[in-house]
Amino acid sequence: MILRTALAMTMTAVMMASFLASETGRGASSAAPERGRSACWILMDIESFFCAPCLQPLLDFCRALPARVQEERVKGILAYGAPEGRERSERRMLIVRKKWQGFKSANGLRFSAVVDSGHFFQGILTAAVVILLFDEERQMLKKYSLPLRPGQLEEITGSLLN
Amino acid sequence: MKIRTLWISAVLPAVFLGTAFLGQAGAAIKKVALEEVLSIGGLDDEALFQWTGVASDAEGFIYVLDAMDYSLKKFDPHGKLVKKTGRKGQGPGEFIAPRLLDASPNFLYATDQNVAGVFVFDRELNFKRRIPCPSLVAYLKALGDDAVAVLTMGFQEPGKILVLNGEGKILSELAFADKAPGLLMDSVSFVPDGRGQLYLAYLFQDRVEKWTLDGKRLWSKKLLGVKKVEKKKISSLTLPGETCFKDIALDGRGHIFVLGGRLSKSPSRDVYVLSPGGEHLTTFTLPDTSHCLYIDRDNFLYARANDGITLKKYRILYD
Repeated sequence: MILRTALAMTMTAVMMASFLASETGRGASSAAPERGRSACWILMDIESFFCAPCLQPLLDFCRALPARVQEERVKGILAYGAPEGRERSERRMLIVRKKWQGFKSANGLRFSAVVDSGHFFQGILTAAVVILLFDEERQMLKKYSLPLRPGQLEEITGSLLN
Repeated sequence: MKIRTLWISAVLPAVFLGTAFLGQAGAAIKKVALEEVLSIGGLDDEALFQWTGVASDAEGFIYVLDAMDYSLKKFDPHGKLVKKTGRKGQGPGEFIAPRLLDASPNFLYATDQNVAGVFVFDRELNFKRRIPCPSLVAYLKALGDDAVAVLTMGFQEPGKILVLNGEGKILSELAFADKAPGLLMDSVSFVPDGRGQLYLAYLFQDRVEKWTLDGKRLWSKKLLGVKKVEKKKISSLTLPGETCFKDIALDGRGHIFVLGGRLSKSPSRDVYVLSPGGEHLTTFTLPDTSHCLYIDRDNFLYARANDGITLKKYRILYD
């Protein structure tokens, strides 16, 4: 699905700006793609971490990316359902962060991830894992749902490795 | 319900000796409370990330399967991690999705949600062998060093509880459902009582039952007042949408502890306590939601906290 319209781009930009502002306030490092280069964000539903088949496409995708590309051009965003109450929400965020640490380490993933504590991305998380590709060359933001369709992996890696 | 049984009477007494004997069977109680005695894993350490199965041994060591880092971990009685094994893979001692765990005097039995069979480890976490099984294992209880009871389920076949020896030979079989009531509808947790009987808690039906090992249902109990569990269509499959019960365990007095599912009043926290005869004695509520209920031979209860990054051990207090 291609988000080419100016409206969609604007909305996404606003959403990401809000998200970055909230994460920066928590002391997290910037998750914005580096200017002038293609990059991607991987949106992950933390609830799906309990479902091995749901996550296999993510691991397959990551295996196709060299470690350096993962470190420099990929950022993860961990989404989760909003629990009721501020205290529960804070605790849930810490739990999500810890689960990610275990999963990342055990699977040899190299990219870092931030927690979507403001639940900005719930609306576009249409699958367990969604990739947002910022394609610098084509000046385009593109959304992919995992598992990828034939040709999409090559499309993403072609852009990231460019 | 037609019952098909192949329980081998000569084998069963030996097979079920693995379960701790239950003294003071079913002594009347009015209230149960918990006192926390140990907590393993917190928000700031690397002990547990998403534990799924727990077991303990006679010396108080605690064994835990962790689905997030594909491992089997051993903790000392004070909760200190003393050993860890396993990684992601399909080789010996490796996991894709570690799920269930139980212990016999000398071995640990573990399952993988995606792999048919039972993995056997010794208490030092050395992988010993894989017990072959006809299908994926949906539930498991250790019966001794050379026997394990497993719930097997298939798309076409109703659920069955099989007793397997160390080589995977079927020693006996309990078919508690005579026809498929719908996909996953005959999923159960079960626990043998050490006296030739078995308690079943249905995951997607409001039913807790007691069976003899030769296939006779002694009683059936509804605890939630749920007539029918709503079903959901996922892709081409129609599956139950909510859980009635999640796990079942026996305490040292012979009481049945049944962990309620999403349809209980406090979802995944209510524990219903029944007498061996099926009388509902009391209900208590866990401090946090859990998927699992385990009671060790010293009558300590283990349950989940913090969505699986913490394992709590409690002393059971009776009134």
